[in-house]
Amino acid sequence: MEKRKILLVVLLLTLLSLSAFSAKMTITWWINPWRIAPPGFPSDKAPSSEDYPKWASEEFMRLHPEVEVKYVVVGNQEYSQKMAAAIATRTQPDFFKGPVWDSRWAQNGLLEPIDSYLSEEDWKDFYQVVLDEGLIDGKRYIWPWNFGTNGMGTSMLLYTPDFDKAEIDWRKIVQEGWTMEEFVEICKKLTWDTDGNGEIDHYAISFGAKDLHNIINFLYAFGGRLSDEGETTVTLNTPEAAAGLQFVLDLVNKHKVAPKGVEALGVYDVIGNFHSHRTSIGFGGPYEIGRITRYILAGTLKEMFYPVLAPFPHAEAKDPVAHTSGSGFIIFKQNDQAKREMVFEFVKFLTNQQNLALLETLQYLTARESVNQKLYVNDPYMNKQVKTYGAIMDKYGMSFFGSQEFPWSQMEKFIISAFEATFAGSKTPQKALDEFVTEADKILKKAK
Amino acid sequence: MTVWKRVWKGRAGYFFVLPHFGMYTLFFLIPVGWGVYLSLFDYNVFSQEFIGFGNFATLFSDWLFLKALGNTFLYTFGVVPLWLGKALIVTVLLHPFRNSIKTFYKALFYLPHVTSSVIVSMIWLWVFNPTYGLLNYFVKSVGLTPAIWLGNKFLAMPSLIFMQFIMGGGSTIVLLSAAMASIPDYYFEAAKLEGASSWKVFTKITIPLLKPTILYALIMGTIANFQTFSNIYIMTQGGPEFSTISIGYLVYTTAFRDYNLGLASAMSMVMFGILAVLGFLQFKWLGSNVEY
Repeated sequence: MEKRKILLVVLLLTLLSLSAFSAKMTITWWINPWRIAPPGFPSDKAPSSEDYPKWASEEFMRLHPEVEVKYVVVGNQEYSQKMAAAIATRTQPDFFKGPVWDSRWAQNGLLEPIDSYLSEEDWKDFYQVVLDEGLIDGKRYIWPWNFGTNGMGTSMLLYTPDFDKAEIDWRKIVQEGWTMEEFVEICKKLTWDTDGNGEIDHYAISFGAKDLHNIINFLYAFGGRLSDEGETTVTLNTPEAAAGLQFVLDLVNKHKVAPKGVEALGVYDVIGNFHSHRTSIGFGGPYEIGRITRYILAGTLKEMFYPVLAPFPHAEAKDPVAHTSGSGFIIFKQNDQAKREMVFEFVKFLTNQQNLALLETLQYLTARESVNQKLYVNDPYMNKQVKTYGAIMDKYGMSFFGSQEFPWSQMEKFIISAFEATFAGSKTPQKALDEFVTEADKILKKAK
Repeated sequence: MTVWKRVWKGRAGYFFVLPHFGMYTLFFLIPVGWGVYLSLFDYNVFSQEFIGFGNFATLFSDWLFLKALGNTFLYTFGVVPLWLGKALIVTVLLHPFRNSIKTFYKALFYLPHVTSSVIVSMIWLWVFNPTYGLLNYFVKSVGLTPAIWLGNKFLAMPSLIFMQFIMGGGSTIVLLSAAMASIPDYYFEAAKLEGASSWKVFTKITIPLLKPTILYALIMGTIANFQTFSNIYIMTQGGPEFSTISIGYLVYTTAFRDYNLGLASAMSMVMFGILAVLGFLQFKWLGSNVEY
């Protein structure tokens, strides 16, 4: 009887140890839709949001057979909702790349700081601005991946056939920039009546009150700033900021170079106007050029066109400004040391020089300076645009929305309301911005 | 007979309702109870602090919440009567026709109901587009000044109500048609023989006999519209100047943009309380059945 018991225990222990050996370490990651073409992807097809994470997961599993990688593509709209539910139920992924994150996650110990995992080469190669994106209380929490976003608030896109038609030297604008006064005069030349019925149906540019980055660029260009240096008070109601907003309002109402109805429009309306050539000036960086290609491949746009990148106009005796940011992977706290190491290994794999260069297929700049130097070597047009974009960000880049500890996401609805009120004519720019600052200051004080 | 004995006697019935009740408890009662619990906390996913009725005090001193509450009432009391009115008129107009024609029109009115509200909202975004939209095209073609429908704080809410009025009410038409078909024809024949006008027939026979269905449609319509979210999320995001912000949308942004789940739960509780009171009042005023 005793022998049988011993035999049974030995058998159980053997089975347990065998299952422990065969059990794979599971890494789960979430990513929002990035339509990156993995190596070998057919060039005549538009990649889906699944292609890149699927390839990356399989490739990492091939290199590390002891690891099982599970990826989930989470849509931008539902990302924060799903993440909140996941954190609340302790089912968050091991790491993620998404459109949202909250500095409070780091402050409450939910995230892994990345500083000690960055190599000396990483510190040198990653752009400082991207490294600082996730800087909270002296530690970094975002592993850099891309530099700059879609370029909204960073650069403008010029549809050159319209400029040629209006006999405007767009090359000079790209090289030397343009003052606000020059910008107004050029916009006037780019506004016309196409069908000759006496009504303007083609405008130089368009704006949307919910398209914050591009309007805020003008507020910054005139000298407005969201907050003071220490981020203790919101300051976007200074006379300079109000002058910037008044300038955009004048483009619509006084100079009539942008269509009315700004208060009802959003960023996709603005993009749509540019794509359909109802406007000659659009917004965005290389990613927005890539959007044209993707829309062509997806069949939502019929005719390919090749806009050029230019800086936003600048106020007299001032430099232009450009919204600059970066993003990357955020790692949730790992209790198991071996798994933590493997998660970081995976993140390093995704951001090594070779794999980071895949962002080229999406017309994004990478977070590594060394990789960006080699992008688009066989495509002179894109090479030129990327160089212009990089130069604009390098010279004039700044973050419009404060540090990660600044509660911008909670203030956003109030600035949208201020812009809506301004363009609807129910408030002056100064009054609308004053009211925004009142609400934003309340949020800031509560957050502090 | 004790309670337990009665339960035992009806055990077969309880056995059959048990799966449904289990699901109802798991997916409705427990989450609602959890929502009540959360409304008493300052809960932001990663930290939790009991604050009693603090969230409710915050809500009723917050102008944005009060504005959302007012907007939600405006939207609900704008849409529901229009829906009901439209459904009643269409039902009465369809009633004399033969079944195939009735079915065709009922299907036509029901069609938007089976279309995704997101798609419907996106189509209407283009209809309302200030520069290139269909509505302003017609407005201009009759010589009127085009309007910025969703950009004007005085027009945005009526525009949403108008859209909902046009697209909604299909299910109410189906319900009322079924109820109308169950009214015996001899009531109408008798009324005609007595020389009653069409209006008298409508107000004294049709409406009173449809009252239970109207009450049902009224309550369900009020609940559905009070919780409106997707059209506001897609079309206005609560703007311009918060003129279309609804409680449903504010709950969403508070919970999933600001990560303030305690405050969002308190908002949901207020919404639940208001709907319960509205339902009670509607039952009290319209709940009496009519028999001839």
